[in-house]
Amino acid sequence: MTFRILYNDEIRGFAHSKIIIALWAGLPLLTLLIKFIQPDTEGMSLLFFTGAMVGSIGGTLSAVMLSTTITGERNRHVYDLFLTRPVRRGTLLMAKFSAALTCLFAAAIVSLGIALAVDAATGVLTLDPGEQLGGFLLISVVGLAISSAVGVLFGVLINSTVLSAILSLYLGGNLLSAIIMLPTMLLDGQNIPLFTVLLGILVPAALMVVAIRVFNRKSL
Amino acid sequence: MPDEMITFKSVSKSYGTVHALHDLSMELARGEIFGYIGPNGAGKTTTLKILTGLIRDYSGQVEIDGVDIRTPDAQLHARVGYMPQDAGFQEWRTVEHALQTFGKLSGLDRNILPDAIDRALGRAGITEHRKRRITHLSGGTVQRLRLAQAILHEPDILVLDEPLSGLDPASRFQVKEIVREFASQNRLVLVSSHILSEIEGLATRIGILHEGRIQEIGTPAELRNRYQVGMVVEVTVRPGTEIDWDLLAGSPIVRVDPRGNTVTRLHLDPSIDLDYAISLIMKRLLAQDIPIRGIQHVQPSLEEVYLQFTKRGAHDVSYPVQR
Repeated sequence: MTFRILYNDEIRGFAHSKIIIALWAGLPLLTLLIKFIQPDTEGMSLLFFTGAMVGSIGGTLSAVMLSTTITGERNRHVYDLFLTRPVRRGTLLMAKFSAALTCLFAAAIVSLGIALAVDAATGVLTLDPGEQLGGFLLISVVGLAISSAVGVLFGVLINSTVLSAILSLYLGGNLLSAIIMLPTMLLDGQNIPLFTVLLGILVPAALMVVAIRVFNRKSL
Repeated sequence: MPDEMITFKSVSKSYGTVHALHDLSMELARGEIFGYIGPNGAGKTTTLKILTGLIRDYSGQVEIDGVDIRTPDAQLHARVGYMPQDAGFQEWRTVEHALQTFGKLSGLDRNILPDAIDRALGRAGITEHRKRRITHLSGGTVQRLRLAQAILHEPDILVLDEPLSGLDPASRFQVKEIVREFASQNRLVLVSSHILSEIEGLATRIGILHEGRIQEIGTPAELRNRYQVGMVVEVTVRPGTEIDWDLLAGSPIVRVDPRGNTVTRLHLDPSIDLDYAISLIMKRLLAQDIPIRGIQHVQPSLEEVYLQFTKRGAHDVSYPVQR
């Protein structure tokens, strides 16, 4: 119940966030822009570019957004008003993480959908469209989940908003790129989706556990 | 103490090498307005944050109605309304939306929430700001919104951290009325301030905190009596009168404190009976043909007691007696 209240509340908050609005409008626009700037992608699908873009730009932005939001709200004692009510600190962080992920997921679906439609119209698609969309969506979601969890962790750990933004930008973005490439680098084709799903669950879960433990110990 | 509601048992808290609270023990009862006084940095906010669960890593124990606040009993915190000194609100919220969220989180039913919001806004005097975004509100209105969210769920315990700071006189009066109303309903109100005069006429009991240690607890009258602050006599003479106070020096006068051209305060030896001392002073003044317009025993404000505490610390507190 508390999670649902906080989740709905955060969704409403993110809907007012300039970064989220920029992502919702910006990612689909970027998708179209890529096609416009680079019409000849040497046989590679727009879906591929868009998937990579959502994972990197969307992921980095989500890490920066979450870390600076949490650091800023901690410094302004925003959470004092929540946590003096029957609200667990972990629930507060989970609601924020889930709401951010939902908003980013929506942006990813729209962008990848547009890319898929463009690829279908230009005859670039070579595989089953549903399978392709699913694959790229999976990579994007894993990337967004990891980067969002990194953002939450930095937001809880760091007291300076600027430092929080810088670390999220560099560590969040680069770490993310490295992690989501792991299945492709280490495994053969058949196991990649399964390993990616596991990665998308285990890494964010571990980061969130650490973030919640740190937050639980903090004096506000 | 009868009907104690909150009990602090040997509570200590440090931030690194800084000791914010030392072995704090006190009991607060339902129905009282407890003024928690101390200079900035004395440990007031730390105490309140421990009570409201925002600070968890402390030693000692805090109980509400005999239940340790660290017990995972969610209802415990639903009973407390907390108005922080400087808590911010998320920029995108309107006043109404903020109260809706906090009301739901406090467990208010969807059916009663609108009425509760109306009541809280009305009490805090910010009904007309209901639809406005919080970022567009003045500092004083935000302060009243902090109060509104604290009283929204009709808590048994109202904890107010510097509630009067940043408010105009009318708003201060309104806040004091809310505090009195809560206490009259047999609820506990804990009000912190670094300005004693702000809550001198409000608090039914006062605790003075200095450098993380509770120095004294008592009713305003008890504190005045305990520190001999009643032995002051104020003499008013005709304007332009020259008085050689040296001629009046000696027992029972221990210090002379001029307060302008016509008024002088005489601090008396507390061991001497007040009535006897006043008659002695009058005799001496009349013997010098000094035109007296008035002579009265004054009760120095608690502010003076408080200043003695905060300037000297706990172990050297008495009214300044100098010969």
